[in-house]
Amino acid sequence: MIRKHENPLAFRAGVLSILVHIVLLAILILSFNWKAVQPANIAQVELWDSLPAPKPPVIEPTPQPPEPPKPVIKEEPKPEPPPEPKAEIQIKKKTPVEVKPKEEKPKKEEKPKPDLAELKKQKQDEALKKLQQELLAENTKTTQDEQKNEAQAAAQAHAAQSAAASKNEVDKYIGLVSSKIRPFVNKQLCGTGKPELMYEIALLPTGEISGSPRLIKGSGIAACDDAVERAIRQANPLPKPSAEILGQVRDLNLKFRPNDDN
Amino acid sequence: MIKFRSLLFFLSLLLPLSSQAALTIEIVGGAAQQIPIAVVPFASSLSSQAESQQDSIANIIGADLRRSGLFRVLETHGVVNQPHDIAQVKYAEWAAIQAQALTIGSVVSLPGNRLKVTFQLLDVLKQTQLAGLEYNITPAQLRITAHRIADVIYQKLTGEMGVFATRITYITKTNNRYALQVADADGFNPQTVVSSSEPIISPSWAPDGTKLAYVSFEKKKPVIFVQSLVSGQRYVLANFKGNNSAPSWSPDGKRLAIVLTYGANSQVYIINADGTGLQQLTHSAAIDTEPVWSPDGKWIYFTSDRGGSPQIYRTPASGGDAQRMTFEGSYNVSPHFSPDGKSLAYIRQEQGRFRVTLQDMASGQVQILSETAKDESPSFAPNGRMILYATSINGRGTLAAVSADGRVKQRLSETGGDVREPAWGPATN
Repeated sequence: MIRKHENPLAFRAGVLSILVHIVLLAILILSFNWKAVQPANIAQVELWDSLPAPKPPVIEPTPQPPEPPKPVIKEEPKPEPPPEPKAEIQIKKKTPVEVKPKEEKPKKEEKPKPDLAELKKQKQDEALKKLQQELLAENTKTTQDEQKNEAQAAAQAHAAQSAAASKNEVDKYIGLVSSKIRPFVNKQLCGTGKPELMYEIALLPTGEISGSPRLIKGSGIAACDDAVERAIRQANPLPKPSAEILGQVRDLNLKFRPNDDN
Repeated sequence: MIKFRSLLFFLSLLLPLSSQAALTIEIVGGAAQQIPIAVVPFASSLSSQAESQQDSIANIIGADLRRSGLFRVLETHGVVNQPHDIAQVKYAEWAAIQAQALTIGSVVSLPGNRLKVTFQLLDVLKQTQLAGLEYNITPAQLRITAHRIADVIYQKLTGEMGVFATRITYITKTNNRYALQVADADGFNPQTVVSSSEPIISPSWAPDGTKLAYVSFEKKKPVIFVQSLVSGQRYVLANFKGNNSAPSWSPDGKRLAIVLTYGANSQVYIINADGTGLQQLTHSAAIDTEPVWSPDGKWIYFTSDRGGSPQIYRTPASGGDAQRMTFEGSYNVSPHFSPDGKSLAYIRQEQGRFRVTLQDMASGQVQILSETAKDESPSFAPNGRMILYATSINGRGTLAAVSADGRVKQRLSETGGDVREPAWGPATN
C-alpha cells in the first residue's frame, strides 16, 4: 500500500492518525451516559411488620377502617407506580403479583360470611406476614449487581430530582426578579406602540448587579431605553439567588415589553 | 508540527461545549407612572425679601414638572445634606428616598443688578451628570429662567421638547368687561393685550409667537384685528361687509384663513397677512366656519353643516372640492391639529355633552379625551402632549388640560371671572 515513491513517513502518520481516532472514540464512549436517566418519581415501598387495619390512625385518611380489604388493596398500587427504575421493578413486581392471588382468596371467603370478618382479618394478617417474610428473605438474597443498580438508579433519580427541583428554583427566581423590576418600569415614556427591549446584566452571588446593564436591543425610543435602565438600577440589588441555581442566573437577559398587558 | 496542531485542535473540541445561554427573564408591563425627581432648593444670594416676592426657582421647576403629569417631585426637606454643587452630592442619600434624578443649583448676584443662575441635572442611579447650564439674567427674568430649566430637565428625561417656557392666551370676562390676555403656560404673569366692553373672541397665534389675530366686537360688528405682542400696535385685517371671524394663521405666517358672511352665508376665505389678496376658498350654500391649516400647509380643515349636521371637512389650501373627515357622531366642530399633523382634536357633542375628542389621521381611530361636559376650543401644546381647552365648571368658564393619551387630566387654577377660548402659543427658542 505504501509505494516506493511515497513518503516513507506516511505509514507512521497513518498509524498515529488511527490512534488519535481511537483515543477520541474511547473518550466519546466513556463519557456517554448509557444509562437512561430516570424521572424524579421514585417508588417508596414500605415494608410493614403489621397491618394497618388494627391501627386506623396509621392508615390513609379514608374513614373506613372496618373494611379490611380496602386498605390492603390500596397498598397494592403503591408498589407498582409506572415510572419505576428498572432494577427495582423486578423486585417489586413480585410483591403485587404474589399478594394479589392471596388477597383474593380471603376476600372471596369474606364476602359470603360477613360474620367471620374478624377471623378473616386475622388470617390475612398472617398471610401478609408470611408474604413479607418471604419477600424479606428474597431481598436479602439480592445479588451485588442488583444492589449496585439500585444505588446507581437512586443516585440518578436523586440527580434528576435535584435537576427538577433546581428548575423550580429557577422559575421561582425568575418570578422574583420580574416582580422586583416591573414596579419601576415607566411605560409613559415608551410611546404608544409595542416596543421591546433587552438588557443584559451580570449578577453577583449576593444578587447585586455587577457593572452596568448592557442594552442589547433598544426600543427605538431613547427615553424608553433610559427609563427601563433606571428601573433595572432602582431594583438593584435583585433577590439573592439560592446556591443551587447560582450558576444558571449569573448572566441574565432581561426582556421588556412595557406596553403589553400579558 | 502539523500533527501537534491538529491534535491540539481535536483536543480543543473536547472542551465542554455546554455554554449555557444566559437565562432570559421577561418583564411585561410597568407600574411606574412618573419619574421620581428631587429638586433641591437653589442656593441663593438674593435677599430674603426679594426671594419671598416671587416663588423660588426650585418651587417653579417643581410645579412645572408636577403639572406635566410625568414627574413625581419628591420632598427634599427630610434629607440632611442639601447640595448646591455636584461636589456636595451624596448619591446614596438620594437613592434612599427612591429618587432617580436630582436637580441642584445656585443663584448668585452679579454686578449691574444681574444674576447668574447655575443648575445641574444628575442621574442618581448612574451617578452621572445629565445636564448643566448657566444663565446670566435680570431679576425680572427669574421665572422664565426657571421654566427654561424645567424644559431642559423635561427634555433630558422624557426625550420630548419641554413647553414650560411657552405662553398661552385666553379671554376673560369680568364685570362685563372682556380682556384678551397672554400669560405664562403656568398661568402666572397675565398681561392684557386688549380689553373692551364688547366681546372679544377667537384669538389665534402667529407661528412666530409675536402676533395675535382676534375678533373684536368693539365696532359693533365682528372685525378681525392683528396685534403685535412686541410693540402693542394693531391693525385691521378684515372688515368686510357682514361678519369677519375665525382667523387662523398659515404655518408660514404669510396668510390667514378667515370666515366672512360677505356673500350671504359663512364661507371660508384666504387673505394675506397684510390684509390684501382676498380669495374665496369654499363655495357652498351651507355654513362653513372655524378653518385651520394642516401643519404641512396643504389643507384647510373646517366645520360645515353642508351634509345636514355639523361635521369636519377639508379642502386643499389651493382650492378644490371639500372632503368629509368625521363620520362618527352627529355633531363634530372646532378642529385643531397636533403640531406633528398626526392627530386632530375637535369637539363632539353626544347626549348633550360637548367633549374634547382626538382622531388619529392615519387610522381614523377616535378617542374621547375629556371627562368634563361643556368643552370648547381645544388647543395643542407645541410638543403635542397636552391639549388645553375651556370648559364650564359650576357655571364658570375654566381652563383645563388633558394629555393626548388621555392619562393626565388637569384643571388650571381659576383667576376669577370667566375664562374662555384659550390658545397655546408656539415654542420659544
